[in-house]
Amino acid sequence: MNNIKKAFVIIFLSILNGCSIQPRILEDIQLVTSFGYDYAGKDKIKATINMPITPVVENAPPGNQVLTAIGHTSKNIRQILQSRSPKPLYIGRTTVVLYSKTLAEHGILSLINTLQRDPELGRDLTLAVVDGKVEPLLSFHYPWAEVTTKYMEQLLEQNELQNIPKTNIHDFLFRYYGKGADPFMPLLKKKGNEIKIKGMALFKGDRYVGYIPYRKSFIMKLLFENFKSGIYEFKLKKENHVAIENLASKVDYDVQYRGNQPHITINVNLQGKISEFQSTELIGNQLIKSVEKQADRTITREAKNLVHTFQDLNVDPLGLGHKVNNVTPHFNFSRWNKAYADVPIDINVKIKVVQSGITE
Amino acid sequence: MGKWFRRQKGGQSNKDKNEPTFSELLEKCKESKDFISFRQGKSFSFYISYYKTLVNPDFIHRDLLSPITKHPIQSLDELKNLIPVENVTITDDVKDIQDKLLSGFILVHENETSARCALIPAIAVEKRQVTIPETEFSVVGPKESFVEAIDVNINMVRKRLPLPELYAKEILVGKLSKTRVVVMYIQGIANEDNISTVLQRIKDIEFDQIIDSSFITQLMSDNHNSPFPQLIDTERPDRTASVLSEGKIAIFVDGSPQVLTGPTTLPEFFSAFEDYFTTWHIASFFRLLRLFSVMFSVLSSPIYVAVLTYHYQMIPKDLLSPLIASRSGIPFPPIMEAIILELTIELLREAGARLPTKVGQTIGIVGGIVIGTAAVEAGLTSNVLLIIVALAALASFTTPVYQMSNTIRIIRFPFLLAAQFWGIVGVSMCFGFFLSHLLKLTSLGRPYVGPVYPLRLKDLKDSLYRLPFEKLSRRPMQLLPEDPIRFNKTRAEKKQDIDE
Repeated sequence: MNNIKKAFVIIFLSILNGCSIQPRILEDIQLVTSFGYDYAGKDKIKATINMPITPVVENAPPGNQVLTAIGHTSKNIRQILQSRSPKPLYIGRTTVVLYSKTLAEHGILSLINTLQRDPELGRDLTLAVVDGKVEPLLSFHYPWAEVTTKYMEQLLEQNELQNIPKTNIHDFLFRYYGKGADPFMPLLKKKGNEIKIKGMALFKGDRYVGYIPYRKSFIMKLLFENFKSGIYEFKLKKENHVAIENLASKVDYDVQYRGNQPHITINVNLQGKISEFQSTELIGNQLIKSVEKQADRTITREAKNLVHTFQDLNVDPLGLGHKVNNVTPHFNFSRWNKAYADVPIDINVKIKVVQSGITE
Repeated sequence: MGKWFRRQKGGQSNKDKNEPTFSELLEKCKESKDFISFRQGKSFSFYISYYKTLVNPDFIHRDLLSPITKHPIQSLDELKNLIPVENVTITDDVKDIQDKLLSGFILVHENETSARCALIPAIAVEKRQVTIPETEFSVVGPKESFVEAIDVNINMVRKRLPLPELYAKEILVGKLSKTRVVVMYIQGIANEDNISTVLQRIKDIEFDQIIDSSFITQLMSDNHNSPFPQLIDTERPDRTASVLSEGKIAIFVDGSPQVLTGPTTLPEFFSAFEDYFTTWHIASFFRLLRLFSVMFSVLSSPIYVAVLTYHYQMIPKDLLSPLIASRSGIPFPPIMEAIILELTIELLREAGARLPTKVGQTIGIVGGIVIGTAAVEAGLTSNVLLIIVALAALASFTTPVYQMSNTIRIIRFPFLLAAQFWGIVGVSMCFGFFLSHLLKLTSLGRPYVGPVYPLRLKDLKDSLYRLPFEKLSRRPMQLLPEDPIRFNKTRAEKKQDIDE
């Protein structure tokens, strides 16, 4: 290596040294794992942050610490909170962000926007709306898990597998900025010493407009994505209820034009297993046929109701506009937005009971 | 460095000019206590002179003194016919006499002034028994290893390759030590350029003493400033025979129980010879495991430092709280913690290597259990890092070639510093630096990163992994062998059973 090369290496290393970022040693910073915003009058928001405090003793569970402050912008609030924290606050490990229903009704884009810009945050951040106030939900210490954040994470994670459509900040932004789709989030509610998922909160733009109850969110998941779990219960005869476990469901959208009018058909194919039957009757072929038939009818009806609810609220969480756009040249979104409420949507649900448990 | 050599060369040549006469040589020799010179014979008397420490005493009594007392001789030529050994020479070249005398020949001369004398070989070879290989031990397969005597070593290789084409070229290296260095290769398989490169480089070596083959590696390697060894040293005769038949060149050094083979590639350093004794699935798995363990060994503690210092976002959420808990009582930043622990491990290894085996085991226990546990309990290091560092040290020992495993352990320190200054960016930068160094490195002029770059798909069959023997019908193209075909592939694949 000649001298010029050596000089280059030394120069580059010294320049790089100037580029170096401030070290953030893990135990010297305070990680915020979840936070939420409440409405606090015009232009003002109240933020609550939840952070785990790790005790010095090993193998001891971390404790919960909550701070609250009121301000105009989330960064301003962080500054205020900083004045009360012994260690600098970092939000890079946040997994859940909550918005109160009242705040969501006023629009939450500015608050999501700041999360979107932050390079420290991952794209798998879960956003949720809280029915009621965020602060009591975040400050309560639940007996289910050592920290509130972990409890919420696990609650949402396992429900996203079975009962509610998957959402995160990336999906929210995709639906918000993408044309022909509206975002949605899970809706949480604190009830005594537990948090429950009340349903799915529906948004028009960045504003909350309504929700569908938890029971119906399974139907929404059926229409929304392919998945392989979850249980649906329906009435077979007068008194008998049947529970069908979903083994694999596939959804497929078909858009066809009849004249000038787009006609959407949603086909759902579900392979299921009879997991519970409220009768002592033996499960035979005859019964399976009637179960399939009844299930088809019930789920189709429920799904139609659900889609009508969406059309009545004029929100499009299924992204139908996007799907119609895909097959239509020169698609006019403003015309679609006006026509959306009256677009004919057909739903075909095909259920096949492939097994009924090991007694068979 | 170069100047220093040149000056010494000048000094040596000055000495050559005034060569000593025979009587001066004897005078010099007599200064040593172990030089013996006595008069023998009645009618025709002559002197017998030798170093008693270099010759075989049985030989003198049995084969030299007893015949000449029974049959009195009249001249040196008669002596030559009488003695039942080959290679008895009669000469008056003083330099030759000096060399032979000092390598264990007996000198028979008529008087103390005339240089005409007979030289009788009576070399006493002190050699160790052939033992089990220690650094390259294998559970199955041959258990011979090289010893310090070069002829025994060559014998062990020749036994495995009975070919007249197996050439052995001898060169004396070292101004003072005059070490015998033998270059072995199979004519017609090994590449001519490689052979001449090796011979030329060994001839060009300027050094006063060559004690071990590692001297030769260091003196003839392509890049003297590289931490990576550029020739493989092996103590297994079977491995040497195997690489010779691939078209490589072996360098035997007298006095060294290790034989150098080259040209080599980086993947070869991570292949143990035992890989050929197991089925190819297992061999491939172990080779990939070793590659993984090298990466783990070099990168794990730097990544720990980088992540804990800069990138807390990268830590999985379930690992966060145990990590914080184990770190919270530690008074040092992660870099200090890592360096302290890495140095402790290196200290233990070094102490274990310097001490006799029995004491070495004690050091292992003291170091592993006492220091490790005490350091965690005293709150000097976190137990997470202790696990990482211990695993990394363990992983570094999986490298089958000792010289390479030393390199692997040392190169993690620049990575650690880079991780402290620039986080993951620094680690990748350091990685890039090493990668470009490896890409530029050559072994006897052949690319070091082997079949990977430049990519030779056919050579890959026996480098990072190993395919069955039937697939290895060609010698590695990397070596540019004169004859690339190892065996007839079609005949090897056609297996004829008797009952068909």
